Amino acid sequence: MYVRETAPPAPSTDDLDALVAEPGAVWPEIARELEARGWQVRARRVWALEAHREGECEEVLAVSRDQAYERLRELARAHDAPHVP
Amino acid sequence: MAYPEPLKERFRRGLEEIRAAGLYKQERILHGPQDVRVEVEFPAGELPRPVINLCANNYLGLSSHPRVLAAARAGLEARGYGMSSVRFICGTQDLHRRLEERLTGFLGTEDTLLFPSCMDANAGVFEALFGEQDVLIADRLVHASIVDGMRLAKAQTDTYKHSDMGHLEEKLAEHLDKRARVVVTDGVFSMDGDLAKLDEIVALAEKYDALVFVDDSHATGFIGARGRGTHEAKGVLGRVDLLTTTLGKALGGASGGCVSGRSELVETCRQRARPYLFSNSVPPVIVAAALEVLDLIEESTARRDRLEENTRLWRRLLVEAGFDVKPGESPIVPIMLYNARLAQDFARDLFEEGVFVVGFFFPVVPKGQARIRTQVSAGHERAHLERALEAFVAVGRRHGVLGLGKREIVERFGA
Repeated sequence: MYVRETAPPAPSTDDLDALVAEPGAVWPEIARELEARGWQVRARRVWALEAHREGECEEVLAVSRDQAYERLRELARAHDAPHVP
Repeated sequence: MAYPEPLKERFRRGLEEIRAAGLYKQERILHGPQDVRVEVEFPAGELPRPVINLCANNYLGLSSHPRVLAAARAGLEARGYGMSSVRFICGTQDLHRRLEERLTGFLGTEDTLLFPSCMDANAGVFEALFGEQDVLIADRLVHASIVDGMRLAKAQTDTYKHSDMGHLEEKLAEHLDKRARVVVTDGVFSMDGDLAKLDEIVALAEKYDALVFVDDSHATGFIGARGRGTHEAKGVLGRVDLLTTTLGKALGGASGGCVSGRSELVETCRQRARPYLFSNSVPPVIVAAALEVLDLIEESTARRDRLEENTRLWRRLLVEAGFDVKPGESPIVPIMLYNARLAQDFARDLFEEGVFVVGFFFPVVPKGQARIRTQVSAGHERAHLERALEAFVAVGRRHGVLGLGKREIVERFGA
């Protein structure tokens, strides 16, 4: 598995502070707009993992690191599985 | 400019890379109907040459059967060419419902829903039925369309080692906390031609309160005593919850597929499966022909019996000639060559000798597992198979692989 060397943009200081201080907070204006259309909006802290290889990319979000890596491994496995029509 | 040069260059480079890797797919052009003998133009621009076809999914030899052609013509005349609609607007004819009912009876399920292809059925079924509280536990060698379908679903996914029932049981136990567990497998696996251990899978699913999903595309019409599929062969008719299969192989070979199974699940697909909701109906000409195919299959098991005999004969001839053949019982008969270059050269030389096959090598199959995949048809006469064997033996001698096992082939040619 190859993880790209160029890291995605890091969160801003404001974002990092918000992630630590109020991980469940949602952006009120947009949340209200979505809720008016029947959506329930929630925000939570999760593990976000990516694996990149040439043109292929897999990303997962999971609440635990173990779960995130496990799911990433499953997704990457599909690329290497043999497939015939 | 809408198509800037750097973008064009990117795609050119991508195609060059595919060529450089030896993975460029060149179409072989058939000059005539699909059959056990075909006229093939290859490479493009060459004169077509007659060859024995050992690479079609035409398992029952019905792709160009006179009764199927007549039914297609009649369907065309009676119900027209295209539906110009999706099913739920104005694209459902009496024929569509009749075919769904006939497939339900044939497969031994509760209900059936047609899709434009089995690829579409697999792309739609999981997303329509399962959500983030559910888990799909798939055999690691399931068809690519299932992998894609699982990725489109919000459900959690997991895999078990190919046909490893101990590993499947571990996974089922691990996921007991999920709302629904679904075991996902092919009935017959397209790479090796082996059958899923459906009897054991169903028993485990019942033990762990899980559903069973089977893609039986390489089985419907000929596996099992009456050709109903892997679930019939393994004695679990009526105990598989979801089946997908195709009209594009044994059942006439045109196109179209279906989801069949528990009535609530199928009806939910009818309401929610996006490839069904947003694709045109299967054309009436295909539906009419498929009904005739089911008549032919249900009238007599002669064709599936013939296919079974042909498969046994072909396997025996190859083994006796000294080829390394993957053991199995399906008409997918892989001749193992292990080395990618050898598999490519072997297929090319067979074509020169009048036999049409394709070499499979990495990444289509695992590294060191290159092979020629042959597919037997009920339409093959003994003379076709004996003639094909002569060609295999001639090419086998030329490459010095007769009588060699994996170790010797790998030693001589590399993996």
